[in-house]
Amino acid sequence: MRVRPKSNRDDVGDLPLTPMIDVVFLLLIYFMVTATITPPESRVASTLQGERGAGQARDLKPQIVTVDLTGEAVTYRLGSRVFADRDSLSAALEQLPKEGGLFVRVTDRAPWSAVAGVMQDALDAGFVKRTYVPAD
Amino acid sequence: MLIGSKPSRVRFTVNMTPLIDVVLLIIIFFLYTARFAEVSRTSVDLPDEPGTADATTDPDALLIDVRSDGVFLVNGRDRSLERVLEIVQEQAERAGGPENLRVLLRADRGTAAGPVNNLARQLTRMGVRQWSHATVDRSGRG
Repeated sequence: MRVRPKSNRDDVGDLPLTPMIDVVFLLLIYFMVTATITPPESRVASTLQGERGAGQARDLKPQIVTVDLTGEAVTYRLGSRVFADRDSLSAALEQLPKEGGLFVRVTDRAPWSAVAGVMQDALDAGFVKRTYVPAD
Repeated sequence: MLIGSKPSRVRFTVNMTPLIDVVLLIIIFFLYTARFAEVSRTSVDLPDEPGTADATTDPDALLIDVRSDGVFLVNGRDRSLERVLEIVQEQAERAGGPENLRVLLRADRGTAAGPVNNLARQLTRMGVRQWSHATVDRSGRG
């Protein structure tokens, strides 16, 4: 009687890769179609105004930018000066002393895009301390 | 000695096709029933500014979204201002006080500042000082 050593190679079937590749391809298409590409978010930090009359030293005159909406146009008031565009405002902010910080006073009707723009301009001008103040 | 017929060579083939079909059905089922948006950020049209830092680098900050119609959202759900303040109070207690709480405001650039001002006034009364607003740099200036 001839005894042949059993080969394991015959017991293993061939794995069909085609269906698996089909599935992977479908999943890839699904995720590509449903994925949304969004740019990374940034942030601009500021502080909220504390309670008034809290005993803080008032050696420096506060520098206040008021953001408002007049008619359809956004206006930026810095002291007695009124700016109609951000470029002139940012140029004026560059000239201000930075150690006292900047208060950004915002009226209820001001568009948020303009408020964020002023905060960005204050940041770019070098104001480390930026305070958000809701207008009364 | 020949007994019976010669045994044929056994070929054991694993048929993967039904298994893969079932796996595919299960994957489709879970993809459709999963609730991805529960903790993800709400789609808000943020102001187009470069900002300073990645808004995702502060995972402990309390996210408050403000839609263009002025409605507040926390964790993707509409909230009244009173409910937002309750959540702020809870988070402030967890943070060890309102002075330690950081609020990240994600306000739509098309909204008026009125709702944000209302929130800011209340946060000020509660003692919250640290807040920042989210922007997005679409033009890659930053």
